[in-house]
Amino acid sequence: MSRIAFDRVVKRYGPHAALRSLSLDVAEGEFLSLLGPSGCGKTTALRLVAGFVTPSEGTIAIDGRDMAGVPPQRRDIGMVFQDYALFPHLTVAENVAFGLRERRQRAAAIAARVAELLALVQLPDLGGRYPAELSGGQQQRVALARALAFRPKLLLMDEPLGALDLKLREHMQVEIRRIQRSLGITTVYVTHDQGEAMAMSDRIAVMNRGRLEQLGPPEEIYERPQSRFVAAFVGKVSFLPVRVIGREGDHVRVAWAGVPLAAMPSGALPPAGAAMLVAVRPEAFVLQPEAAPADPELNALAGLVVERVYAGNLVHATVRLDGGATVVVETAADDALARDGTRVRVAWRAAKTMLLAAEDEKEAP
Amino acid sequence: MRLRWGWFILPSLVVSGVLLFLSQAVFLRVSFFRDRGFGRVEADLTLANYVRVLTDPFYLRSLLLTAEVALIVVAVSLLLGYPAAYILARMRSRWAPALLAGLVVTALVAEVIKVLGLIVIFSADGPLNRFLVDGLGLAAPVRFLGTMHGVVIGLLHFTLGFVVLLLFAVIQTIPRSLEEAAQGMGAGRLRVFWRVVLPLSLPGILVAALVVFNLAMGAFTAAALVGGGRFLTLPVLIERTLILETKYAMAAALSAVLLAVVMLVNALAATLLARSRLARLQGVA
Repeated sequence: MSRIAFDRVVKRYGPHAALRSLSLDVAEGEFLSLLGPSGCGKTTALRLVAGFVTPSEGTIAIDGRDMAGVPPQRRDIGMVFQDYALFPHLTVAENVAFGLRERRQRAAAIAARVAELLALVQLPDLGGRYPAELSGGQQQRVALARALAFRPKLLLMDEPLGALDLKLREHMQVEIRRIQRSLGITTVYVTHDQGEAMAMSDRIAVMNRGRLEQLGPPEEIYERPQSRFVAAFVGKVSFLPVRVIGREGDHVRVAWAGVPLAAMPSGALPPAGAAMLVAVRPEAFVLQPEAAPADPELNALAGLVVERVYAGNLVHATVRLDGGATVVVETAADDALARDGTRVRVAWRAAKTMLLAAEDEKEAP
Repeated sequence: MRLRWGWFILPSLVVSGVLLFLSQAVFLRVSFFRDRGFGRVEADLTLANYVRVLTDPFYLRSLLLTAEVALIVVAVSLLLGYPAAYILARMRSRWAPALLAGLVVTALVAEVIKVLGLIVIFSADGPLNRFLVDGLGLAAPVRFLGTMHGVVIGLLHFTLGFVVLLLFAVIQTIPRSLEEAAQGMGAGRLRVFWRVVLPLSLPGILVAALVVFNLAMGAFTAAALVGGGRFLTLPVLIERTLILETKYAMAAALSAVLLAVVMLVNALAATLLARSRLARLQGVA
């Protein structure tokens, strides 16, 4: 049974719809990320689960029970806020004990549980400190310990790592995932950072303008995006506008600027002549010398390297294709072809050629 | 270069320095001489005025009455003002700024005007009493003028706006997410208030209490007009001593005692505030 079930949930603020008909199931023990740009409705979805806002339409069920009319304090949900929301007038231990005290547990039991949680988040000696005396990373851990202390059914996290610097953020991603796995607690995690979502999640729900764009494991979201929006939001991608020629074996023949290319369709086969979009990830491209013999198994387009961005372990080369468009190619840092002004051939496999609808579906009124 | 801006403080420093300290010094000096009547004093220094203020039951009663009224006003102001301030601070409506502006305007309306309005409403044949007697069938009109509750209401009329404004500013600094966090961990509305909102607004409550206490201790208009001359708080007594009896030295001594009492209470509160870790965290002290 799914722990959280959104069923056609709509949330409107006046004329503005923050969430338009969201249906989504979160499985027991799953780590699900709600990923999307600001204003996509991901935080609204989280707050609906927590009970801080109520749906305008549709239902949210937890463990099969409709949550309509159930206030947040009776939902038994642990939540980590973006600003941590630690109580400044209470010590770390008192913060962690907050939910336990609300549940009228005995002092000895509370003390034991607080010690256990502070050990879990690796802050065993800081119980007597006040939040203002902790670093951002430590506050984050306390917020997590506090949310877990009373053994909630669900854990909700709203951009919990947004305020931390990159190194600490990466460390905490691993840490949060470790703790979540060890407890097996069903977790919904809101983020706008696609790297974070991919590193941590069992499944990602990509959201845009109040709608669920795509739901699936990180690999699926990255390798088989269903829309231009998902392809562009998750990872880097180059787009080429193409016309469909027809089916050829297990792939689709398309043409860009008169050059035939092989692509993998993501849905039903589009009719010949349809305007579509080819999307290719930077790491799928290979740079070849222009004069080298062409491999008939590969898509290939000629062009000129116009920009090279060095990133240490690799470089990103921008290639202006002879047909007019530009693509970004990821290659080894010592690739001699990735130099400004070099004539190259950009080649890639049909299997890495994603075929998407040219326009994302128009926003329904 | 840093000093240049500092010079701009000088004019206001001079003005308040001259007006406050110089006049206070002259005033205090007078309090150490014996009155000869009609505003004149004798030449010999004496503590007689102070001895009289602090031993004469008439004056002591007035001091106690003033403190009693001030404390009642503090308590009622906080009780009435806190919920209003909380709702205003948490209101998402577009009316919130308008309500707040209305509050500022009414708080700043001249006290005389407000009190005169109260006198009209409270008088024996005023609208309130007509409603109580004719509408609710009360046997006799309720007396407000010249009574403790009348004066308290008059003072509340004066202090409530300030209390709501002060508490509003403090409550606004408490992030809403703290309340949500507490609620999410199982606390109902009352528990959230008791464990989170109230402790976090304590420094603000103390400051508001202090402001109201100071206002109420020194309030003359409400006490004099609603009190109708029968309700002798220290400010009213000072005015009578000064204007009716022209005993300048005695009036000065009474003022000095009032000032000392108020300053003592303020110093105590400041110490309390400075000791509070929370106030330091919030940057109040």
